[in-house]
Amino acid sequence: MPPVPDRSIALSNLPDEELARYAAAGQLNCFEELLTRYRDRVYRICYRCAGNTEDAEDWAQECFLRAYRQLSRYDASLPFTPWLLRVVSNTCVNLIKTRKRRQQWMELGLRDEVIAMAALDPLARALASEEERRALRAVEELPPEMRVAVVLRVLEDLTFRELSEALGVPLQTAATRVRRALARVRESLRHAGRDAGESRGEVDE
Amino acid sequence: MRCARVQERLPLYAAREMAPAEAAAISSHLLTCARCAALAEDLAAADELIADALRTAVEAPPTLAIRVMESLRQLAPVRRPWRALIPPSAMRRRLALGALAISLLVSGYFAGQWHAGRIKPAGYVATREDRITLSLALLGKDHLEYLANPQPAQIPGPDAREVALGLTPLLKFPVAVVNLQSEGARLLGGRKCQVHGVPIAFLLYDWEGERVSLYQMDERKITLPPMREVTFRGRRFLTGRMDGLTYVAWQSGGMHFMMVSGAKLEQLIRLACSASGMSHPA
Repeated sequence: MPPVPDRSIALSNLPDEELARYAAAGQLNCFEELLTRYRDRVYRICYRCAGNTEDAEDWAQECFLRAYRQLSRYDASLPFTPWLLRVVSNTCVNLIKTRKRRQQWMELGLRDEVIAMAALDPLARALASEEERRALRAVEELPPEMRVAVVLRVLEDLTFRELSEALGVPLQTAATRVRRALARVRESLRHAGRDAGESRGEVDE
Repeated sequence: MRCARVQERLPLYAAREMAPAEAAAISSHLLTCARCAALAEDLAAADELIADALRTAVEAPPTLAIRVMESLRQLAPVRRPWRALIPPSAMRRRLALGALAISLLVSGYFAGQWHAGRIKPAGYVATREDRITLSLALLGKDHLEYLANPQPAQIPGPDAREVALGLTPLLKFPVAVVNLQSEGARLLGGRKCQVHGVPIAFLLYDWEGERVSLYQMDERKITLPPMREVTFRGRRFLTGRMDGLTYVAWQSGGMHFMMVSGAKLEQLIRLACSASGMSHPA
């Protein structure tokens, strides 16, 4: 029988790694505690990878379900956070790719509906500046691997060493991915700035 | 140090994640090479801008944990990861003990089932675990079947109060009066129907040519499936779209309300918002 955590010990006192070990043995309450600890972080990453709240919840759910299914492969002698972030980053890369394929086939009517839903999203509305909106759009246009790398590095403030663990790539590869992503974003902001300048010029004339 | 190498290492340099000797070499290169210095500045500016744009105080919606745990409870019985916990050397010794424990568990489970079935008190209230989860597909089928083959309403409209008072004794729960006249939706009538064997109140509206069904059910008997949460005009709704039908649900006074229609979500949610403001029983 799998060991059951002593009832006198509150689950909130157990370290992540211990909880993951019990959860792998089928203790759902231990997984629930991990879910409580990580849900905001995972949701935030998914929100920035998906670009909208509608998909973010589905994606976060998928991340947790995958983590649960893969728990038997987790080595509890290693820290839990990098392992979970690796599951999350792989899941997000896959979901971005799947959505891209699906969008290519999406009917126009459905697309309108998705846009209308995005208009309901208070977070999207609350975005501060036009420049930030453009930056977000540029991030959304990055290839999946670069996008996830930037979200983890910038939003989650991971060091490059942590990022390389989360992505499952060597340190220099993680750094290169982020450098290329930043360069692309910078480039598309320059383009957008030029376009905005030109269109303003036309209006003035 | 060559420019290509410096540029490759810039992110790690900026993050101070390199040996001091290499960092010093890059520092001195940046002092003399305008191109690399400009690139470093560019990357730092992009980093800062993205950080400002991406940073968000967004929190996971409360439905996330519920959805995950509900999915896992359905998954859980098929998992057999005991092996992961037992070191291989102890495997054989424990196998016999394990078999005994499992047989005890299985017989305990069946005994428990029998026991629970026998001693349910008369006023038994379903707990969260034995509530039935509503199937949207089934509700959608009921909505479409009724449209294809409309029988005369058990309690005809358009007086919402009359329909609610007429349905209440049939359903054994207080049915809410939902008069959507102000939204241009005319109440055609109401009837009692059953989904998963649970009695449900059903009101049918004509909304400018679009048929809208409003189902009401006791939340102690039935629970809603995982749906997307949307806040509209300060109210919380669960929404879904499947096979050309839109579903909008809300909770009020111990009841689940579910609106079903072929209308688009952004239209139906407006009607649901008005309805949720008046979903109190007759």
